[in-house]
Amino acid sequence: MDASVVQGILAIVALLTLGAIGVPVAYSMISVGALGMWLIGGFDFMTVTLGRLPYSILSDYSFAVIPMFILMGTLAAAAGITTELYDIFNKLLARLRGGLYMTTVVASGVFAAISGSTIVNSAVFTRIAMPEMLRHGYNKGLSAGCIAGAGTFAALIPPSISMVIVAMLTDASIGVLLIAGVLPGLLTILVYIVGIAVMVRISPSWAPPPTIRYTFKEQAEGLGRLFPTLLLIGIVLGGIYSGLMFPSAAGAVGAIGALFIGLMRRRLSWGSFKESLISATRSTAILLLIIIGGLILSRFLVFSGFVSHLSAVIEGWGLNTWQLLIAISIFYLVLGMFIDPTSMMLVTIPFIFPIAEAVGVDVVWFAVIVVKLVELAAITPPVGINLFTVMASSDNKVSSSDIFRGVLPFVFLEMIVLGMLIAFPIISTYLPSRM
Amino acid sequence: MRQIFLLLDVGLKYLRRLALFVSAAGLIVMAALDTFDVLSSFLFDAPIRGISETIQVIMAASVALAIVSVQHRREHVCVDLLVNKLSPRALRVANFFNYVFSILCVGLISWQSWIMAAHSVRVEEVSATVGWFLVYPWKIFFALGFTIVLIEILRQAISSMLHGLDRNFERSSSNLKENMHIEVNP
Repeated sequence: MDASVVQGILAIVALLTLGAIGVPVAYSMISVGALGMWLIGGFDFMTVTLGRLPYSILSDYSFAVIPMFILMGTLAAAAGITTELYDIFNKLLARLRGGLYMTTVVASGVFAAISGSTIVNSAVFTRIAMPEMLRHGYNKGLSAGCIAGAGTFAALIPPSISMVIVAMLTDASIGVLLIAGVLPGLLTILVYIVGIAVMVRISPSWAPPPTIRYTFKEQAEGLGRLFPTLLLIGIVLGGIYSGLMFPSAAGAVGAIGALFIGLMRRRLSWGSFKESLISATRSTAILLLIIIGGLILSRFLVFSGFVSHLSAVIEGWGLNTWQLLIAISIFYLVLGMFIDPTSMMLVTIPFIFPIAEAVGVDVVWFAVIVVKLVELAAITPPVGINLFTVMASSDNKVSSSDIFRGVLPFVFLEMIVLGMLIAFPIISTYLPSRM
Repeated sequence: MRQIFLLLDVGLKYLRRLALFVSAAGLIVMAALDTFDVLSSFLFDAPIRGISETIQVIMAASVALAIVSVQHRREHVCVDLLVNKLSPRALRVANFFNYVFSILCVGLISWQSWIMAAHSVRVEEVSATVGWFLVYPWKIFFALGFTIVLIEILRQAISSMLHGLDRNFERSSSNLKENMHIEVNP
């Protein structure tokens, strides 16, 4: 076997071992990458890389998109935008059976256009939607599963941090990848709504018959209050799509906009502002440290020749695009059951993307599929980060067995969307092709 | 000896808070500067010179200074498939390796960051686009951030050794969901 392949396999085994015994993912990747560089390039090569790479990553303007999107999400949540969205869509959908599930889906989808984090979405909507659903006699497991599933919309709908990470790791345009997630994100929302309608028809006990009806006036009032939020989303997405703003600048404008909305509506106190700022700061540090680790590891894998060798081997198998996509989907689905989404992206993308490119797969299309798979990883038991988030945010109202059972219909819906995205690449590539 | 550790503990607590405060302030300053630049560009067709470079150095320092708070609260993302099933003895070994690798990583980055910062101070590095904007203080903050993280890990390691099995580590590792209410991960 080629030495580079042995080095690469040893690195992955070491990484999994360190992760399994509880070493933080970021430190595992930095350690393995650094030791690998020492072995292949000498001590100086390792120290020079460790001296330059962390600073050059953290001082790269394009990476500023991550803290800005996170800040926008936390400030928007603190400004009460989520509660408002839930209230507005509840008034519109309350007359339908399963209306609260649908309200969660739509409100989470709209909030995804402000918050790039699936975890923020899941945590926030568990606190808002779960008590309402339980109070109205909705199925507990399905409610929890719905919140966890809807939380994943933030991974596709811009400003998606997952898309930004994929762009960072593959040198693709951040703006193009962000816009590529719009139609797949909307498709996912649509499939969820149709899926919920079918589910509650098949099993009426999952959602009680609607009891409240709102007048047209009440509904129209709610829609009026939606204007500032839609304006904010429009400025951020419009800025990125038109190319008038860098994604980082769009995120910054979005964050200041969310702050402004919160202040105007007197919903943002000094305490909640400070809390959301600190929360965004910590989240940024966690995420960027993992990215530093991922890039150090990927640099080692590239320098060792592992990536090019593996690409050549897989090219030699003569797989066509579909076979490759199906194989990668199965690989991610299995891996996603045990590894958290960000770590999975950082460990796999550096060698999965060159393989896909070598086979001739469209990078944008492939990025959307990978992010969809990563989204699925967030809700597939036993290690689904969104499932844990919902459990943790529900004040022990939801058990793991409740949510593991309740999320399965949504995993099925996600698989349907995944199939559609693979079958119809245009869903992912249409908007980027118009930019 | 105990008094010295307690004193160091208190000192580190204030340092952590200060670092987090500076870091959070850096984040909102970044957002404000970028927004100001966008408005200035659109309204007056006058983008502010050197804004992206300023944001870059603030970001590097802010993130480095925030890591110590993450380390202190053990909010790093972990994939702890085995930790849940380890015996207390095996957990102690895992704990040891956790600290060794953490110290190794942060120590190396911290050491190299000080070399980079020292060079920057020596040449009195300033912004390439805005001559009056000093870059070297931010590089010092960057190196300082990683150094405080290193001190925090050492404190945790010593505390773990003195108290036997590190219950914090056990808790943070075996109960991933507890970590999940913080807003991490896309």
